[in-house]
Amino acid sequence: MMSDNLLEVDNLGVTFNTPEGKVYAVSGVSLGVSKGEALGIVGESGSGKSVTMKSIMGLLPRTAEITGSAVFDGLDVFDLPKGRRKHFYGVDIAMVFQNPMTSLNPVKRIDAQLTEGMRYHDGLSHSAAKEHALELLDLVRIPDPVKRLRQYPHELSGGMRQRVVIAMALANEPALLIADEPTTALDVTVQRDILDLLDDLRRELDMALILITHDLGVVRDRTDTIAVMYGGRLMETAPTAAVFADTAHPYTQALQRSIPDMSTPRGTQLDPIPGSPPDLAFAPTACPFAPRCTYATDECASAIPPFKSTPSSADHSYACFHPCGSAAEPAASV
Amino acid sequence: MLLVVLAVTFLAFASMNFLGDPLVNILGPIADESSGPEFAEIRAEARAEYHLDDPFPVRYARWVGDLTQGDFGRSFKNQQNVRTVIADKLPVTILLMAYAQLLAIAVSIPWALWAASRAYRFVDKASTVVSFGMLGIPVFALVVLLFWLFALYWQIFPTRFDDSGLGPRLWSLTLPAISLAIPLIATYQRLLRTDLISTLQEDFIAVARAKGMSTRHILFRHALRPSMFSMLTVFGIQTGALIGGSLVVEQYFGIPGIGRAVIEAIIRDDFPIVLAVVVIMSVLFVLINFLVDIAYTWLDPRVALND
Repeated sequence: MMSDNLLEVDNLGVTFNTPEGKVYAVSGVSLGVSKGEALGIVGESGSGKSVTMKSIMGLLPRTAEITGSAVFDGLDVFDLPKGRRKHFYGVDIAMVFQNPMTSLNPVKRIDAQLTEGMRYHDGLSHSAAKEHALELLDLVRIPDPVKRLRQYPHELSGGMRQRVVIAMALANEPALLIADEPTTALDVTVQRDILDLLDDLRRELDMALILITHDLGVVRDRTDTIAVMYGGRLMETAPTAAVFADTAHPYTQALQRSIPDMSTPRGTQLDPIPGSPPDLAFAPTACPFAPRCTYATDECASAIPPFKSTPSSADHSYACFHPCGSAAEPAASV
Repeated sequence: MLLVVLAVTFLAFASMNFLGDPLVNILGPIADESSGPEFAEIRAEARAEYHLDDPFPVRYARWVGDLTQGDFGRSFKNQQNVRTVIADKLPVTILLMAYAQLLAIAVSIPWALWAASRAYRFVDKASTVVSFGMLGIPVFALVVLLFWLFALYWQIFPTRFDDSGLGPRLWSLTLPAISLAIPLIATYQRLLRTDLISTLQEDFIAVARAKGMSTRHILFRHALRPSMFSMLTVFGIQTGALIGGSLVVEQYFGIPGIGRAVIEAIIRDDFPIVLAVVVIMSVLFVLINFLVDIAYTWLDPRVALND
């Protein structure tokens, strides 16, 4: 992968030590985002997408064991220099969480929550911070910001709250914003607004964005690159267009088939993926998707498929013994 | 609120009147008819002064009526105005109770924050053992132990109450206040720690951490306030228990407070004083719990909307 990336994750592994033994939440994940770029991480629940990002944000519990590396702008994220750590999160990388209903402190007014980050990191005065807070609410398109600042979170709707959470994340102009399923808990009508807002803000502020979602449709028009995760491993990474035009991994293919779009005729049976996600309590020894994969052979159940690039593009990589699309062709000719 | 106070006064007044003949308590042995006709006049006088010939409801109504005007009646024993007795002894008791509560809060909050941010680690488990130990010691044993250690052995604190000014007064109340505070500290620490641990799991704590706020800031500015409900509730209730505790402590340290006065009054069957103390303490208790209810709305602005 290119080394001029803003964030470069290499061979990341996260295991949790639980009373029932180890849980292998993430293994062998390598990702990169360059400045101003949007990366989508797609996967179902338990695929390790959130854990990956939480490890980068330093939000994992003490029971988590992290291996591999994550380098942000030349800094080792897992071993930040002391002076840098104090003003790293919230300044260089910020995060927006899944549920806006619980992301804000219920007993603090919006202004206190919006301004504390800038006051702490930038040492802004009370009035300067307040002014900046107003600008931020404007930026995330909240009407009547003066009034909103004096309100408590419970006086705002879910969509409004997520806008506030986004404004909070933007307070110190981070170079990278991680949005972990930012619309999952919202009404369908509001979801699109929030996603479009994130997209606009990324362009306006020239900020890199990692958008985590379980919905391929969400990242389709809003990202430059997509990474598909399953069972704690990376299945496929590719430029967004290639993911749809030249799908290499059967799991990505299955994901696409299970989601309807506007061209799907009414009454069509969707294609759900049979079976359920893998139990992560065992050290990975096989392709995690093999038990549910229609192309799976004995090989898939006995070895981990290596992560390699397709012949057509160095940016398009996948981990599968029996790929589809153009990746399958050279294999067939052997 | 008013209803609670009324109920307490009624129960107290009724029990004081029906458990034994008030006349006996006022006059002693000569109250009995058989003690001879020479005392009949005194008996009649006492009956008239204390209105003992009126039916019970009338006496109760008169007593409550007097109460509302700040008249607690006269002591059965030395004819002292109960109000003066109370006014003389109440301030030091209230000072002691407030001192104990303040100490308890000042110690338990930092302790709970410290323990909750290290939840389930060794130091937290060790501090749990300590706090259960503090809860387990009864006040009377604690008083003896502390008194012996700090007043007699190390002689840090005076052994007797010193009323020669506010400074000495507070200083000599420190050991009694610590004795009262220790079980409170443990209670508050337990409750607050548990609530803090669950608050620290909340999403908004992760959000604050993702904003890069310091652990200290997160604990004090984000986690503390929403975690204080149980503690505050128990603070109100414990004020009642503290009244009981101060009886023991005042007696032991020779503090001329209301607790000592009431014990002496009970021994001497001096019911007007007992009644006055019961009324004042119940009013105090109700008042503090009313303030606690108000404080809920400060803790969580959402409470105010539910009215």
